[in-house]
Amino acid sequence: MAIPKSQPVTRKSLFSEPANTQPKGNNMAKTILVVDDSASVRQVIGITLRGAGYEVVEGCDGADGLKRLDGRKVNLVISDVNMPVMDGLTFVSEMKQLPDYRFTPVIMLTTESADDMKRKGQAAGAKAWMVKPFKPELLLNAVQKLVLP
Amino acid sequence: MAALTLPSIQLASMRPQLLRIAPAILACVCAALPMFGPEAWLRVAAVAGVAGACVAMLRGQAPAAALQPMPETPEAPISPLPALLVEVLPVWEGHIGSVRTQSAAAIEQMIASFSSILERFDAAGFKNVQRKEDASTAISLLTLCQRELGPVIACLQGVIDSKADLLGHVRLLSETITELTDLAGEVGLIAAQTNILAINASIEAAHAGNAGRGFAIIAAEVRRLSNASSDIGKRITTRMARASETMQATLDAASSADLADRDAMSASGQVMEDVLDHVRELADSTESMKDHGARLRTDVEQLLVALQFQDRIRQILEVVEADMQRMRAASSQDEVPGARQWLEKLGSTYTMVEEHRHHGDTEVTASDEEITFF
Repeated sequence: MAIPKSQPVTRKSLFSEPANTQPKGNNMAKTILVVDDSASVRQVIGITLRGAGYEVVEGCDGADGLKRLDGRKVNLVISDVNMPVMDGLTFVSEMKQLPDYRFTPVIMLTTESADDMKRKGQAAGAKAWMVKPFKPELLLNAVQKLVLP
Repeated sequence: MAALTLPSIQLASMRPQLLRIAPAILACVCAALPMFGPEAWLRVAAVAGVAGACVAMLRGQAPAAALQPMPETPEAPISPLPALLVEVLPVWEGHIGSVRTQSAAAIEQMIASFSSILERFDAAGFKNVQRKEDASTAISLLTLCQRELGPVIACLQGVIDSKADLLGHVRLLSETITELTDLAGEVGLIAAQTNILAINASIEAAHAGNAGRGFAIIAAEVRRLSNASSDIGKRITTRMARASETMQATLDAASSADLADRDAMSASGQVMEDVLDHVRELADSTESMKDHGARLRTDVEQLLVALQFQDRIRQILEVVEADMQRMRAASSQDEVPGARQWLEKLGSTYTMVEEHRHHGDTEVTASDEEITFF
């Protein structure tokens, strides 16, 4: 009777692989543009998104965010509202004028919670309004729901 | 400007004392008049009139003068408060700016450090406990060892079982050889009895004389055949004995090997079981370590979320800084807005609910929705 050939034991098989929250069947990393004048907020958002497998591009205000929209593929934008140089609502309105990014979904992430501000965000073209401080799982769920394939 | 105001300030502080001693001075002068003559009365009357006018003037102005600050110059009076603000506000703004800058830098460094910790957790394989695991990729060390060792043990057991079958066949063969040996012995007995019968037949043929000659020949042939059979029987017996010896030796060797194999199999099984026990312990401690690591990772993530407070205090400090600058600009103007107008302007710059609440606007409430989809 022949002894069955055993499988080699690898280190990766000893522990669980990191969970991949990106949709199954899509192995290419999706790019998310994060626009916020607070470096600490950009850091925390970046940690959250990169941990879920997304690539992150950062802008420090609305004008800087528009510079990042240089033709690269961007699957979703997360933007603050109150920023120097160019505020978030103006940034979103300007972004929607660009042919390559007209249909790119936008999540406004801000300390503002007033209904009139939310209406302004919706009018500018945002798809969601999220109030800071944010919970990482809530942000990831929203991103997964809105991100372009 | 300070030198010009100094005598006025000193005079104002001396007025109560002057009021108390003025009547006493006047009384002393009047008491000393008889020593000087009639002209002195006229001079004293003039001095008394002037002194009385001064006392009246002092009494009339003393209560108000004790409370009101003296103007620095009579031509263009400036309140000290705006001048104070012009000097102090930039210092306050500098302190607030320093607080904002230092806290931002410190928290950014903390976030970077925590981010590095999270990367190390991910590299070590510690996952967030709140995230669902992918079952197809989670294979524990214990399960892997059991999967690898099980077929090996089963195969060894199969080899032993097949050897046992072989041993059984050898035993049967040995029994068959024993039976053949017995049969060979019976053949020899039959041959011996046939030989005796042939001898008796020869004897009877000899008694029969010439009539028994043919019978004697037959008897002799039968005797020859019985002798041949006896020889064959002996040779068969000899061969069977040798085969039996060989088979017995083989049987003994096979039995010994079977016992040795079973002992080795038992020892191997015990060793594998011990190894699996150790692996089980290692897997349990690894799972515990993974669990603690995952919880630590979750705690670090929550710390990062909590550090978002820096963004909120930064915004509050920026609002205060901007209003200080507005105050500094207004303090150099001749007219400043009223408090209500000022606070309305300040309130319009707020973005957070707690700013409105600290401003006294209790009607503003925080939205329960953390996210709103359009």
